[in-house]
Amino acid sequence: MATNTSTLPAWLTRWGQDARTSFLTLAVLAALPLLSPLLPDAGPAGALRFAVEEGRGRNPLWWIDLRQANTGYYESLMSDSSDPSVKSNALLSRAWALPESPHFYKFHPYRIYTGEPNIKAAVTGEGPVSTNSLGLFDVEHTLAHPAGVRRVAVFGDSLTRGWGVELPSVYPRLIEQDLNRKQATGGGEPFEFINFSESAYLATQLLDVALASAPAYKPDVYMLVLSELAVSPKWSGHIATLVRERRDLKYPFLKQVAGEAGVTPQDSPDEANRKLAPYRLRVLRTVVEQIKAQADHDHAGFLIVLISAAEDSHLVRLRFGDTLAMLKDTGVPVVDLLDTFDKVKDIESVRSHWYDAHPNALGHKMLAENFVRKARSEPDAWRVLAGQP
Amino acid sequence: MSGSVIEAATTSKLMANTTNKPPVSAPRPGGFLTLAGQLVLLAAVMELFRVGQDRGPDMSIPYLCYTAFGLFAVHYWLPMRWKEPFWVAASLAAAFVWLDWRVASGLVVAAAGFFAVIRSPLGYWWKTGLIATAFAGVTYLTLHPVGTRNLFQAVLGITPPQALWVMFGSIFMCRMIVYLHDLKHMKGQPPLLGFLAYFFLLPNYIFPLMPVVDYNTMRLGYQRRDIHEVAQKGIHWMARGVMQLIFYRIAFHLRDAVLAEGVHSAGSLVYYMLLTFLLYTRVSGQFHLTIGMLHLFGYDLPETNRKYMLSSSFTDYWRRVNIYWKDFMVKVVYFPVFFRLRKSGQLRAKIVGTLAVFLVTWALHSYQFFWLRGSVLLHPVDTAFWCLFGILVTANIWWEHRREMMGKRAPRPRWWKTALSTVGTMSVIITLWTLWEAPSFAAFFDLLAWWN
Amino acid sequence: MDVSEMKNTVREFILAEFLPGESSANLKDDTPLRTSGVLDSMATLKLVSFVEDKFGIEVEAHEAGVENFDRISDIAALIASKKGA
Repeated sequence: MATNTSTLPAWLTRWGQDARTSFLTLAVLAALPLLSPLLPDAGPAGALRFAVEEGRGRNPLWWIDLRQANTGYYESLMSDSSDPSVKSNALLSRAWALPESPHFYKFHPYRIYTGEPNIKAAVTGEGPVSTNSLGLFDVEHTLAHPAGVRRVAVFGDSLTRGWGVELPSVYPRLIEQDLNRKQATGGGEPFEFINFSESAYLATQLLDVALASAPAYKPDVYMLVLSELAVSPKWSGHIATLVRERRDLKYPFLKQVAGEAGVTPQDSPDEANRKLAPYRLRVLRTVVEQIKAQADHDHAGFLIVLISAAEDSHLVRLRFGDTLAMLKDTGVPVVDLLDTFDKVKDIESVRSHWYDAHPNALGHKMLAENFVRKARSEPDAWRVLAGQP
Repeated sequence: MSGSVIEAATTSKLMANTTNKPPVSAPRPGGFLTLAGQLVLLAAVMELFRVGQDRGPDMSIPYLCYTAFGLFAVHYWLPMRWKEPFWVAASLAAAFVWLDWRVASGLVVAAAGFFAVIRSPLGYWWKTGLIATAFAGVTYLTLHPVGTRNLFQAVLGITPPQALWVMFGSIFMCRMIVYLHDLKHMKGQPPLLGFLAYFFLLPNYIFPLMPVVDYNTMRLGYQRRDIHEVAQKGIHWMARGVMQLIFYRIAFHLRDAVLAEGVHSAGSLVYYMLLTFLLYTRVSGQFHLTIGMLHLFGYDLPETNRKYMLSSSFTDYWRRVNIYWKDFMVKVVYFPVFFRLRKSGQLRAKIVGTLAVFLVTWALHSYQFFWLRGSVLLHPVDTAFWCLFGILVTANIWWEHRREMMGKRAPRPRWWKTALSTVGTMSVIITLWTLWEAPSFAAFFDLLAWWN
Repeated sequence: MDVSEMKNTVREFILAEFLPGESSANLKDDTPLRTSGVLDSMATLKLVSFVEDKFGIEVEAHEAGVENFDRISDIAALIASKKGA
């Protein structure tokens, strides 16, 4: 046996080198998130910063799952529906259980679900939840159109519904307040924004809200808010669900699309979405045209707003690429708020949680300010919104 | 022995795995602090990078790790004879803490039933038949959820959650095959402690997809080397696993950007395919984390993946990408087939053995999918993947055998030849992987035809 | 042939066939070969063939696993038990 000529103890020399390397590696890894905010955005340092932020879950995967279908053996095997049955539910229910959430959705034959009336819950999986007497995630509104008030019916998904924030902080409410402050001094009609938005509503569900629920309120403006849900691979999830559950697709154009695509009740959600993928622009265009027709019938204006979650704005714009051109082609004024979070260095500062890309109160404030700024600066949009040049 | 201990350790990887003295298991403050310090740093890295929390406030992976680190702090100081009983007791207790009590109870009852059969005086094939029948019975129950719920409600007054079948499958589906194979030639009565230690692995409750740990390897490696060396190797692998899990997020996001932009050039096609392949880092990262964790408790297990991106042939890739699966197949399929057929020709035995391995791999992957997802995977794309992969590996084996028979000793290849082989091999593998990830052949060919 | 000679014979074969350039002093009796990745399944089959030819024994499928072919000491023990030494 060779003599140990090292000055280190014999037991350390054997694995000590590994330990030293390991300490160094782990120390560097631990330091990276602490130092990365100091790095510039561009160049190799910028790439490192991007890698560290992405590695920390800058774009949380659950949000991305909306865009990427779970295909492939391992991704399917390890996707959410198998994991929660084993660990998350068991662990969450044991160690850090959320308070019992009241049941705040009820069944709807076409939209699948809609809000339960009179819910007031401060802490739920969706943040604070409050519904009015008619099940809207909003304050009370009379069906009768108040005189001298300009009513704006807003249709969107959880971003517009205000997932994660209190009602007074939701951006349609902030827009209403801001516009009314300016209208009060300018002598114009006050605004009343009615929020019909529901979590995870896709364009085909928003269509039904606009045609079946909103007209009763006699809005002066129909405002359709489209988010990444409209452009994700799962944009057709509602159609796929209706077919799979053998429910009535209600609208002739949807029945035609489902027939052409060959979607069957036996198709898995991913397979159905894949079949419907080529029809996205066509369906979205038809939704826009039908809401426009409803608005015209009611002598109301129609406005489209594009909105993004608090995430990578470059990616968001890429996803909306072809949709923007199609929407412009419809002749409906479009207020593009996709740049709202462009200049935010730390995107988590405008999120409801680091893992949840829904905007927090600050994020909603930024959305509202951006909307008012853009609506006022775009004559077509302002004309529709305010009913005046 | 030439050179000092340090010199030998750095010049030969053989030395890294060898000791010529009995394992040092005496705990000492310096050793403990060195290991514990790294675990603290590792925990900090997991916190800062929010490892395992990809889908919201799911603390299961961090809590698994912190629990394991805490158990290590106790386990390290225990006398040798108490170490494994402590580990087994802790793993069993964790099942009741982390899982629904009905799930944990169901697993314990199933394990007790299996062990009773295994320890019974019945012949080997009777035991295997009984256990196989039990599996068939559980399969039937999972395929008839309403009837199962009613049955359990009527007999026991409780309904079994879906998680019970997932965990049952996860724990027993492959390891029972290995255990029964080893049982046939096991000397003496199978020990209860070894049985419990093998099936009730702490990380398994959080990671339903576990590497197929080999029973004999686990027993042979237990406390075989200096506990510090083994634990250090484990920490190294856990760190590697964490880095791979972090990298997975980056690959996922970059792939998302390609999906958003669309594949419009050969370059973006290659980039997309490479990123699709790199999503496997989620699997290899988890495998490193789980097996590394077992090292903390004295289990000197082999590595799960070995630089598979540097494979220079299809057989090389097969041997590197999932070593535990490869060893599992070699043990239960390849060697039995090869040894039975070798007298009628080595090449024939190798080819038939290899084809049998891929047939069984295809079937067991579907079987695994059934247990973890509840549906059998019978998809033409999946079948095509395993067929093509099997053909490539078989052809590679034929080629290697032919060279050997012609007396051509493989010379040490020049670096550029190795590099070319690696690029060529990985190009084919990545293409195959993209096929495997595609929802259909049409989608795959659509992707390849980027000019459309 | 005693056990020590068996070990050396096996050691020489492994070094020549699978570890060219490696020092024999580094390949100890308890150096893990299978579990450390030094030998894969194909290499194990070659080793089995060598052992069978050299020592005139027959190895069965279940004997070619890690319990007998991971370390030189284990291989020698298997040979010895088969030869009744």
